[in-house]
Amino acid sequence: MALHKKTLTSVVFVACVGAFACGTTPTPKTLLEAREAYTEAAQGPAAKMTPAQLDTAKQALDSANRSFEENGDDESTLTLAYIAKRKARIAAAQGEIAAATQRRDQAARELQAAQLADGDRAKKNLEKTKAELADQKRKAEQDINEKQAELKQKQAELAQKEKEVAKTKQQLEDEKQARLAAEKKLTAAMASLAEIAKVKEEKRGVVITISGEVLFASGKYTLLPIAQSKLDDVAKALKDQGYKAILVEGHTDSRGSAKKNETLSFQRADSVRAHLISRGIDSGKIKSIGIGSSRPIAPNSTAEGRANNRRVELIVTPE
Amino acid sequence: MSKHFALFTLGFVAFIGACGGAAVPNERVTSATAAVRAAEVGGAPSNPEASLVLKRANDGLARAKALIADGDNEAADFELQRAEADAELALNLAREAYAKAEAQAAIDLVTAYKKQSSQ
Repeated sequence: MALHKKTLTSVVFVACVGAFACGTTPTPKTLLEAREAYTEAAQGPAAKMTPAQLDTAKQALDSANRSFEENGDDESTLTLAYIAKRKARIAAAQGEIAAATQRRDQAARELQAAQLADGDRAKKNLEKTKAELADQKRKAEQDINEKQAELKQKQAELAQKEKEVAKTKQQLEDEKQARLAAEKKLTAAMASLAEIAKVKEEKRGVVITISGEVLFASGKYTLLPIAQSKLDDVAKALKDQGYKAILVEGHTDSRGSAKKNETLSFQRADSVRAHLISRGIDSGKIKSIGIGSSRPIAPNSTAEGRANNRRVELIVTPE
Repeated sequence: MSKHFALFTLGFVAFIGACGGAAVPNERVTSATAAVRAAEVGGAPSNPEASLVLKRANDGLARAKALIADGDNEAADFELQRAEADAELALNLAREAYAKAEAQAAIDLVTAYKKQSSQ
């Protein structure tokens, strides 16, 4: 700034001296323009940024002023003034160049600083993202482990279920086989019973009809020895087949009094019941009643019909 | 003989004086030409203001050469000084424009970067 003021003062001083020295010679236009150009350059960035160039311009202007002072406005003065004007403009341009370079460098530094700041931010974000990904990975692995454990458990449960299903199948198969065996046994038992009795299914249950002739002597309720053997087979068949309840009904023909027939029929039914209990039939599930002659299954007018009416029926309720 | 020699010498000096007496400014021609060349390769032709000043330098150089051809070396020297100053100015004007454009580009770049970065 001091240089700038000093320079301006010098320029003004030299100009004044020149004016006095030249007397009436007017200052050439080019020299005036040179002075103006120098003043303008000195007020611009050149004063601070490129003082050496500004000083060169000042020296050129001083030369022009001296020439004007000494030689007036001759060609030499005009040329020096022209050169001074150019030098002043060059100094101004170089000042502008230096200022522009400074702005460019400042911008470059700002850009670098911004990029560094962004880089730091990006790095932090990257680290954060990395940490998040690591956390997600850890959770995912944990989840996978849990799922695998769960899958393992499910597989074990499935294996257990399959085992149970196989067991159930086996049980069903066993039951089926047992049922088939039982049915076979029943069929065999039925066939065996059929030899000594008639077997048929009715609404009230399986009805086993044994002829009274086979079981008892006439007018008696004591079982004949052959009858005991037959009833043993019946008891065996009943136990094999299974039962819920057994009702033993005694029936007579129509000969004799009804009361006597009823008593006899009950006694006979009870004899059968007692024998079956003695052969393992559950006493709590077997009952006996005497029906007498009230429910004939054949006409009492013929000997064959009466023989059919004299009978004991076992009504079995299956399980 | 010495009288004749003295007369010859006097006549030669008078002849030289009549021709202007200044030597051909070859160095000035060289430096002005170099300055013009530097301005041309330094980007002056592509800048409007600098190219005008460069034209002035070229015109001055041409006038100087014509003056030299005419034997007016002193006037040629003045022309050459002006032409060299013009060429130097043309080069500096081109550099100034380039430096300003470069600075503005850098400022624009950092502004755009900051704007983009803040979004």
